[in-house]
Amino acid sequence: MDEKSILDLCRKNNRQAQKSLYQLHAPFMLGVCYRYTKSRDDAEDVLQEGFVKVFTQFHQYKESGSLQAWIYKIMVTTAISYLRRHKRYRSQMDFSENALHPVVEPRGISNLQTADLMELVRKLPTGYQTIFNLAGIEGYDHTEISEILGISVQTSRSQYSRARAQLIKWVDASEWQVLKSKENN
Amino acid sequence: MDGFDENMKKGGTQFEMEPSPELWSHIEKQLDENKDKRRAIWLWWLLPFLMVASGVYWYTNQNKDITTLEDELITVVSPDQENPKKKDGIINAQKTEEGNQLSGNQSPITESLKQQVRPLQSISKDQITPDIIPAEAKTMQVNATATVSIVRKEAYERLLKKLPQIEFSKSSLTIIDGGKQLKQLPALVDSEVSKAIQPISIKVKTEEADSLNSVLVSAAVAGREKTDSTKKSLNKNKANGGFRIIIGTGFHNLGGKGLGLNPLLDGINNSTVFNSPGNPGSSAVLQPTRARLGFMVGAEKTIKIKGSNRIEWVIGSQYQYQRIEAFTGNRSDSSLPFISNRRGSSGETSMAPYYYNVGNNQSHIGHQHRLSIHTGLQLTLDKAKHWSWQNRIYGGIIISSDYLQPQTIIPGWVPSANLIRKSHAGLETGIQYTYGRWGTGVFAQQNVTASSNFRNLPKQYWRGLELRFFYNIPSSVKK
Repeated sequence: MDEKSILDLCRKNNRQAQKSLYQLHAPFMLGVCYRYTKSRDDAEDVLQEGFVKVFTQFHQYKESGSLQAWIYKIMVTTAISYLRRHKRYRSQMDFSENALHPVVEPRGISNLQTADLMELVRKLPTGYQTIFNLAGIEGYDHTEISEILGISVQTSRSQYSRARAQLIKWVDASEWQVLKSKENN
Repeated sequence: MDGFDENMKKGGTQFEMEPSPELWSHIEKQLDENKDKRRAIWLWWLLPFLMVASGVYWYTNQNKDITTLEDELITVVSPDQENPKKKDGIINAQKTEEGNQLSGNQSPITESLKQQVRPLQSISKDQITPDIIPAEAKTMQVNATATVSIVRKEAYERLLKKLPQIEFSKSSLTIIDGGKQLKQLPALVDSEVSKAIQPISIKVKTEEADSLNSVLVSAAVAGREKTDSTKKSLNKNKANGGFRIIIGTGFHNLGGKGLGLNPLLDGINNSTVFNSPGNPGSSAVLQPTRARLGFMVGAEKTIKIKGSNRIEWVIGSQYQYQRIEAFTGNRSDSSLPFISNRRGSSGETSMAPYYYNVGNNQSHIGHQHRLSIHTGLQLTLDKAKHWSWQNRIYGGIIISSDYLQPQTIIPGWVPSANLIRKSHAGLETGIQYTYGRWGTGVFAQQNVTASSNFRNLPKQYWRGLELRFFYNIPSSVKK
């Protein structure tokens, strides 16, 4: 089945076509959801919620744009909405100025695997994690992030810098080893 | 962009994970459930209209009944042939449907008058001409009626003492003036009754309030409104004070001399106004009046009490047709620690307090249970035939349960396609106790919440319609 026929059938709520679409995009989208959450279960919850939205709002998709980008956007908004709704995340959305260490300059590029990098992102406090995902990976500017999260541009900018600094620190081989050994213990 | 940023971005956009094999079946199940719910949504849409229609129907029929009653009260009395006590033909009571329904709570005078009652011949207004006076009549009485507002029972009792001819009936005053003219009395309580009626005989039949039966059907529409989350960051989305203007229509039927209902604005919680059934908004005042359909406009200001998430002070006023209210009070809207079932096949549950945290975000779905405690002071100016006022201190507890169903919004309801759009239709039922009175209500809502998407200004809009049906249980009538 080519993509065009899948899309046409999805519009008609054809379950088989929906499944094909899901199978095509689910692994990448789960990676996105995983970056925003703290557990795989939560990431799968977001993915489920996101795909339900995708299929129920499929008529809103304009073929002029990329389908993956459209689904991606839905997943990001669903993930943020999920964080807002769940107390265990909401309580960690701390945007105060003193939660992380001071800004440091990057010292080098790590040879860590993608999965390891993403694990590091997920180790950040939820607020920093969200901002870093939006600014560092999704590419939103701080004005947009301030609107999404209801914080000031300045806060977004400084939180991003601190999150980035912390990640750099963790990426550093010795820090990373310490972290790994702590985990193993 | 340095290597770190590039690496991170690249890593983030390439990262993939294989979902659990059973996840698709969860999605499929949820899609099937949504399909069923979408069908049910039409019923949610229908419900408010049905409620309005039934209200209008009832209101229309109420008026019909009143008209009939007034026609019946125009009577011609022929000379009394059967009762030797009534040789002069002065009849002080009527045999009407209302008369047959007199309550057992009658005075001795009333009882003696009732003994003199005999069937009367009823004619229409048009037939009242000198020609119809029977030749043998010594006196002819034409009775006209006027509806009066008697606010307190004491007023009736005072009248009873002054006018031995008076008999209580259902909020009607009958003036007998010898057939020469029909006379309408002004508001009975405020006028000097003895002067007004001296030249004529007066008969007032008032039925004691049947009970505190009352029904309120009302609708309110709130216009575009910024909500809390436009001002608050994510971790501060507590209930906050705010300002709300509501314009709407209301329908009241007030059963007998019993109960009025204060419509929507009294004690509405800024953050839960469209989520609460029969909530602080339904309070009772004593007043005798007919069903009324009116337009309602008002405003309220809620002030958050520092250090508290849920306690607010409310100040407001409103005008409804011939009715002005000012109110103030304290409100505490707290949730019960019941489990709130959240939609989704993950089987996740969350505690009801979530409800508050979402506040105006309206992102709650599923069942929830709430407990509200409210106290307040209310001053009402009410005009049935004349202006009267009641003040009232009220307090109550409301326990409610509701179910809200998220919906897809009709395109065009929100100003921008880029806005995240949420809509809920809901049905809530609750039970309310205010001093001496129990009530229960059904509440339907249809609202739209729109919040900003990534590339828009951080505005939120609210548009909504709510309909409220409230019934006071006649369990503690004090006559």
